[in-house]
Amino acid sequence: MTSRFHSDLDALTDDVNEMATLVCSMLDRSVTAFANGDREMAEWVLERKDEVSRLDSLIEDEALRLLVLHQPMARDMRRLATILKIITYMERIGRYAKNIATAALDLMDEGLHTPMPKIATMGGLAVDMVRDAIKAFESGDISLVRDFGPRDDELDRMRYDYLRTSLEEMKACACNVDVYSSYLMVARYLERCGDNACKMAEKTYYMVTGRRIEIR
Amino acid sequence: MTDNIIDINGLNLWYGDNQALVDVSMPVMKNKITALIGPSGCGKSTLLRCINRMNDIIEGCRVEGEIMFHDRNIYSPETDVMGLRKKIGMIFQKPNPFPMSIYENVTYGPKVHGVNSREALDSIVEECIRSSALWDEVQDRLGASAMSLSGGQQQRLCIARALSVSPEVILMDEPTSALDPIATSKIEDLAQELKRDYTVVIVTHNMQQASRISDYTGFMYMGKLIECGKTEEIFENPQEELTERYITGRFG
Repeated sequence: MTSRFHSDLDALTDDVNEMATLVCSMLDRSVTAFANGDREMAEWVLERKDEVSRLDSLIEDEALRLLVLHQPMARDMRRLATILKIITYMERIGRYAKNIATAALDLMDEGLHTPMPKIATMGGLAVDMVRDAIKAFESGDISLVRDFGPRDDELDRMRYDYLRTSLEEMKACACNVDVYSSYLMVARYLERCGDNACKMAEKTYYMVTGRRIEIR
Repeated sequence: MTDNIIDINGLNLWYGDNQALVDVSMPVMKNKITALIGPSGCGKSTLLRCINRMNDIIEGCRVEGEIMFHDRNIYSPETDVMGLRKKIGMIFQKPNPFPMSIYENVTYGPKVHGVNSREALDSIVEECIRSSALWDEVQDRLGASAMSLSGGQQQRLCIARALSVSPEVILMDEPTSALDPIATSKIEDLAQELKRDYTVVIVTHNMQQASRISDYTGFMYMGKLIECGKTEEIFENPQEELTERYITGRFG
């Protein structure tokens, strides 16, 4: 192994950080677009979808190239293994952001958008988890993800709380079905974003310590 | 069941005034492959050569500490060194067959140790050449010169020769560094087969080779054993910073 390998690995890590920043912004803006009915922001998210796919492929190809050519060991191997896993989680988060932005546009197109402060709160929690998972990967500071278990539980709790409320609203009037089924889907996407942030945190923990944990 | 076949305890070695091994202690597990890795001059070949007292022939070499093999210190004055080397054989970096026939290479050792019947020798030859995964390639030309074989075949013949005196431990000093990838792969597969019946200790500069074939790995640096443990742990998550830096190429 040469120093060339390490500079290539650093460059690859920069690409991962770029993808992470992009995905986090997409999720953040998709939540704002949905909560506030902001068309411009929803469109901004949809325009970034291809960039996420491009970075995902680029990083995967480069990570495989480095694995094949250099057969790295120890912390270098753990970093590459982590990168290969977390780009999948980040790509999924990007896809959920796209789905949330699409749902926002659909409601706006049909004139059905209703302010829902709870979804903004839930979105804020999910975005914070993704942001902290990314910061932990960038800095190696695993203390940032230590409380991910309770934070993920809170997201799950909010989603079920939302489910109950939405069902009540839909039972009360069939006219609420379109809006609340859309809100339910978004709550589900946000809860899944939290799960993916947990997976990112688990892989980052492995990268830093060499030990595996399960966040539950 | 796995247990220690060899225990190295507090081993120090000097070549004249130069100390080449510093307080090395490690077990060698029975029926496992143990790899010794480290930069050039770290003492890994010296340590390997201590295990069957090959360093005895080097002038000015002095050893302190003990290497226990079957509850006896091989460095005690009572040790029969010839008998020890029969039990602990050595394969070198460069294949070194005797300039004789393939058959005679394998029968040389048994003959020295008193086996003379043609039947017994034939049986040893077939068994050892089969065990070294060479039989299919040479069975119809056992009388041919060993020097007519390819490098990889010569190295497997050397392994057959080592097996011919029924050793318990086989020491390999960079056994594939002079071989191409195909011959290397055959020797690596062979090492995996051999550990069923023998214990293997291998010195290698090739970390991928150590990680591919060994069960335990010891990392040496400047005559000291820095870390020794299960291979997957050493290569995935070494405990010592020096080991980490060496295996990730951040050395020096």
